[in-house]
Amino acid sequence: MRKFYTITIVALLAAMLLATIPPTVAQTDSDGLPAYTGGPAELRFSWWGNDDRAERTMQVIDLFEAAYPDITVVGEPNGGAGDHFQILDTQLAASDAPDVIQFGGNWPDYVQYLEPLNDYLGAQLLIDTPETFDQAALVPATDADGNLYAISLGTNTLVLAYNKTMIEAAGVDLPADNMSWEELVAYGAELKAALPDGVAPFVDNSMNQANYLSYFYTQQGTPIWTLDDGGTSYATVESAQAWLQMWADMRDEGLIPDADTTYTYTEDGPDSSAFVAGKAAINLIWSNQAAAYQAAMTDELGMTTLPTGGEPAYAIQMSQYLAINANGENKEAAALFINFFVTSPEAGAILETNRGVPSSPVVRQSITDQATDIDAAVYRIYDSVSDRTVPQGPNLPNDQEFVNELELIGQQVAYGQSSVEQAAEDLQALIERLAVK
Amino acid sequence: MFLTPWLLGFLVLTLYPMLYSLGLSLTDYDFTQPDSTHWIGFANYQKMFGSAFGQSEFTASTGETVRVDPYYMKSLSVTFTYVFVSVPLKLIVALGVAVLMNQKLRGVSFYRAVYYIPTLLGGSVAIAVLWRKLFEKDGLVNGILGTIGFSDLPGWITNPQYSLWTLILLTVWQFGSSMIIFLAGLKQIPQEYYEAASVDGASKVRQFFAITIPLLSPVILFNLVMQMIYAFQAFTQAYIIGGGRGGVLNSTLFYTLHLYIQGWTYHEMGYASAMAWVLLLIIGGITAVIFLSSKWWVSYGTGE
Repeated sequence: MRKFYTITIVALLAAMLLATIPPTVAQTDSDGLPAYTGGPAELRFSWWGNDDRAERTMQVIDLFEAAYPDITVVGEPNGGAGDHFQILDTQLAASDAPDVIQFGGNWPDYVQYLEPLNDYLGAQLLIDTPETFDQAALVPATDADGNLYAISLGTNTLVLAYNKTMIEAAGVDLPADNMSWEELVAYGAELKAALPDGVAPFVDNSMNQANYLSYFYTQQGTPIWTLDDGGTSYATVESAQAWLQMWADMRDEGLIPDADTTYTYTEDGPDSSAFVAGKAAINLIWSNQAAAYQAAMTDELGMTTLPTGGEPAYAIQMSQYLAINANGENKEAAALFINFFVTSPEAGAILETNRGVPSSPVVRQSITDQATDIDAAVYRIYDSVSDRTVPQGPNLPNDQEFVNELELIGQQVAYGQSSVEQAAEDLQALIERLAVK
Repeated sequence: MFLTPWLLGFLVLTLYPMLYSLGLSLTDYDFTQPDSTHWIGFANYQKMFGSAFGQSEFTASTGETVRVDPYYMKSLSVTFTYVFVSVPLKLIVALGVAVLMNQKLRGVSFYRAVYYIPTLLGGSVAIAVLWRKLFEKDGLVNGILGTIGFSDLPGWITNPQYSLWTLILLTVWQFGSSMIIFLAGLKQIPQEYYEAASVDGASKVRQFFAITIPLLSPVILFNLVMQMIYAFQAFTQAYIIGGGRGGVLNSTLFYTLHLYIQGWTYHEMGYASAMAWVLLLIIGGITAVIFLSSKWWVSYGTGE
């Protein structure tokens, strides 16, 4: 009889435990969603990204509308990030911006247009406990006065994607994690000797991604931008010089494509990339873009870490954010939409890791079954750099201008119109100018 | 009374914004920070032309240091090169083809339609993308040149030495609308003139320069002015082919593109307004010159 009791108790306990584990199968569970108290509302939501992202986002919108029949959401995909912000700037100037807007690390540039979200926490935005949302993800979206302005859509980080098929065909070992800069360049030279003509080991990532530069500067102990004393740059001309010289040497040795080939591609995603076109074997990408790059290629893609050296500099960062337009008419509905977007397991199952690794443990749990090799590689990289990660730093103010001007400085060096020394001085002057603009 | 709707439209939608932008051009208006707008007098204009006088920065009336625009002169030179090369070329090609189309050939109307197609496609995004694909380093053009023995070819679109010329080529390729207008002009010229000239023993070439060109000159004037104004306002092709920027090393930084980037990407709306007014003055000035010079070369056949 005692045995029976024991079995019953254990069974009961097991049942109770099971009940607390979030369901991994998609089911329409509208109980966990906060109620909507307003009348019929229409929301506009704009983001940037390719067709694949748009399709996933639209499916989540459909789910949301099913859960909240009173609210309709009009999705406005805006192409690339540059286009997105130009369109957004225009809309903001005309007081015609969407209710829910996707931002990157540049959200502080827009803070005067954004609704502080503190009052929505625990009411519409059920992300105020560690069980529902990684609280660390709220920190980079909060200003110095403690106002929360944006909700993270997940984390991502920079990785080096490599063309596994191509490297194996060349008979060279795949790149190891945590190589130093010197080892990486040496590896490139080894690869160069084995790759067919017309294929370079690396894409020229010297100036097409401000974050790569920023990573290097942080390693050198001269971060481009920090929040010290309300915003300070420690950038030096020496760091600029070291960075540009390294790439100039790689260009001389044929480790990156010639300038004409480099600038044929915009390198802002898989739609226009020397890596996808088979002109180079290794490319810097954001981890959440890996699936899109893989989808654009027939060759198999692998991933490794950025090079080691100097100070810890690896930022596992918030990939993107959703924020609410302070002038919107349906802020409650907008908050509910964001909540659904980041905490609903059904939404998570559709979005997967397209905008990064979700910050909601519940969503993460529910998409573990769907994890692909690419997701596994991203988690491996997260682990292997854990001893050199740093909190995500802020973007230099006037981010869009910085990105444009960087590209020009890079072109001047690539086409031999500017020496490395001159370009380093230009770069330093640019950073100093934008820091105070 | 009947003019009221148009007049209202003109006042509210054209005149008011124009005057407003004139006002803005004297400020440092940044539409993301409208509250911190200052009156800065002519600093925006100084910012534009400062580099021509070797300045790199100057102190504005507000006391702050303003950096001159390092790319403004570049954008002017790109635009002027583009206008002064592409417009005459386009008109010469259009006139040449119009003369051919004016012959009594079989199927001439079919050819007319075909030659007009590029213009119909016009400044569309699709054409710009196509052009980019044709002329990039591994594009079709280099593929064809490669098969006939050229090697080590540049990327026509990306190489700063050639990129502007590919855009000029694209513009010249769209000669259809000028061609149609020339054709209409050619049809107006009475055949008797040519017959009389043949009797006098004038060659075809002589006939062309002595009869066709003078009688066509009003049409040439019209096309010249229109095409020039269009060319100054070229934007779409350069925007797409340059990847949303001024191309490699700003080699295709058209004036309008520079204005757009300053205004919408860098939020320098006051400066962009000033640039727009300068563009208006430039186009107005050149148009005036063309009209004033026209009395020397345009004949309206009134037998003066």
